[in-house]
Amino acid sequence: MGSFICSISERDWEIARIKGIYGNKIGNIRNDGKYREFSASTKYSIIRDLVGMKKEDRVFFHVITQAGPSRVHGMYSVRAIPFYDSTRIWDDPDEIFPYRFLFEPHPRYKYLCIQDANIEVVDFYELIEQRIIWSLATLENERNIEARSVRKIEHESETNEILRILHRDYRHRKVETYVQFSPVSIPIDFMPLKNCLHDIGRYENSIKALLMYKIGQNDPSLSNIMGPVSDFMNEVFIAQTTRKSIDILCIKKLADCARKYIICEVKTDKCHSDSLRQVLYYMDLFRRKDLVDIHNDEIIGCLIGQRFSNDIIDFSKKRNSHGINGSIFLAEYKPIENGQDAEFQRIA
Amino acid sequence: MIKKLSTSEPYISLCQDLYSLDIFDKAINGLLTIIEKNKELRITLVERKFVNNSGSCINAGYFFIQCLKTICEEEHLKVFRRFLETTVKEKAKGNYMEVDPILSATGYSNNVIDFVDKYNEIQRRKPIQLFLYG
Repeated sequence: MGSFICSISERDWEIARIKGIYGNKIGNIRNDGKYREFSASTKYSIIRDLVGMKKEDRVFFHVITQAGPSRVHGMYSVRAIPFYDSTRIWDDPDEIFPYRFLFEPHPRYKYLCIQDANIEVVDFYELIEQRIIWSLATLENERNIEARSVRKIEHESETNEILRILHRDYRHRKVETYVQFSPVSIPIDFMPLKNCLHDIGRYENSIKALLMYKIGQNDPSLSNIMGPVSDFMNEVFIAQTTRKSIDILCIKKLADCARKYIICEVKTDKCHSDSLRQVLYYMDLFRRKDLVDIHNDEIIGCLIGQRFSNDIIDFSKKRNSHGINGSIFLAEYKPIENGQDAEFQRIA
Repeated sequence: MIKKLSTSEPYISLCQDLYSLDIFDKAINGLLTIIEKNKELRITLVERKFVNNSGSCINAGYFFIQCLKTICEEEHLKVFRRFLETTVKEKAKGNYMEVDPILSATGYSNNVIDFVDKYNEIQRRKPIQLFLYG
């Protein structure tokens, strides 16, 4: 089970909430006033953010308004895996929003969705300020942060807190006219988003997208290395002020409320000392977060790349042999099937 | 280059007078207090304080010191790191920047020196400082 928050314009939300379909754009209007598709790397980042989504995952929508404060709406449930489809749904002259998923009101919270319950985005940001929401720094597009529309969040405490605020403000922020749902069906000839994934070994976002997909599927090639995980997120903010983020964070529940956190850093090609320094620093930063119980939780580092310098393999092996909380895994990947898939092997 | 201490018993010297060795300088590292000792493992934990603008003594971190009576091999380093980890958790909420690790021994195996060099290069933590004696 996972949770997501997806940004959408107010204009597109009117259609999306009735038809139960969300689409991510593949281009934008540039400075010269012309529409152009994003670069391959950016397209893979869109796939990366969506491809770990599964049926019954929970979704909130960040509705961006032209006037007045933005809002967060929910809670919805994913009703089909993400897919690519170019059928026109939204009334936009340039964009068809082809990277899509289908959703419906969450069965337990239909009463929220039918009255389009929402909270002001400032209430959401207060949760970030209070570190109750810790996986995100903001929902805005900032100069130093990659623009994203779909963000995976922690599916227990973070999700429950947003849900609580939606209930807290429900009386005052519901709409009186009931939403008339008229959900669209998944196209017969739909293409699963995973099939849009190419260029593994060439772009960092491609290998990250494949990892998100495989972790979501509990694929043995990764669970053999990391063990099974109960939640996972990408681009998780570790240092809010410098806007540094963990590539992928996996969480596994252990006995007695303890948790194992696996901090993954992904490199397209060769990993050197600086890659290892980065993941070890993130581990040290993460263990100081309020949510971590330093006496019981385990923090593991995982560096993923195609090749590794010998010095970091030797150091990692020795470091792990000391048996101190904070092991580091080195996982090598090898692109296969013309860059549409990869094999993984733990080397330390 | 590992600095040599001018004593044949660093643990006893430290326990008697923290400034008796060439590790600490009173002018810079004043207000040091031994707050914990482990005689069996010859470990001392030293609290570092400073006087702030209001005249109060404020904690400014710790020194975690182990004085081995032998050549330091990988097994010794494991024990040292394990106790360091416990101290960092208990005293500094997991922040390795709060604790300066210091190890003294009569010698060091090449494996230990290589590991410590790489550890100090890669980990953004207080470096492990090695001293020789005897």
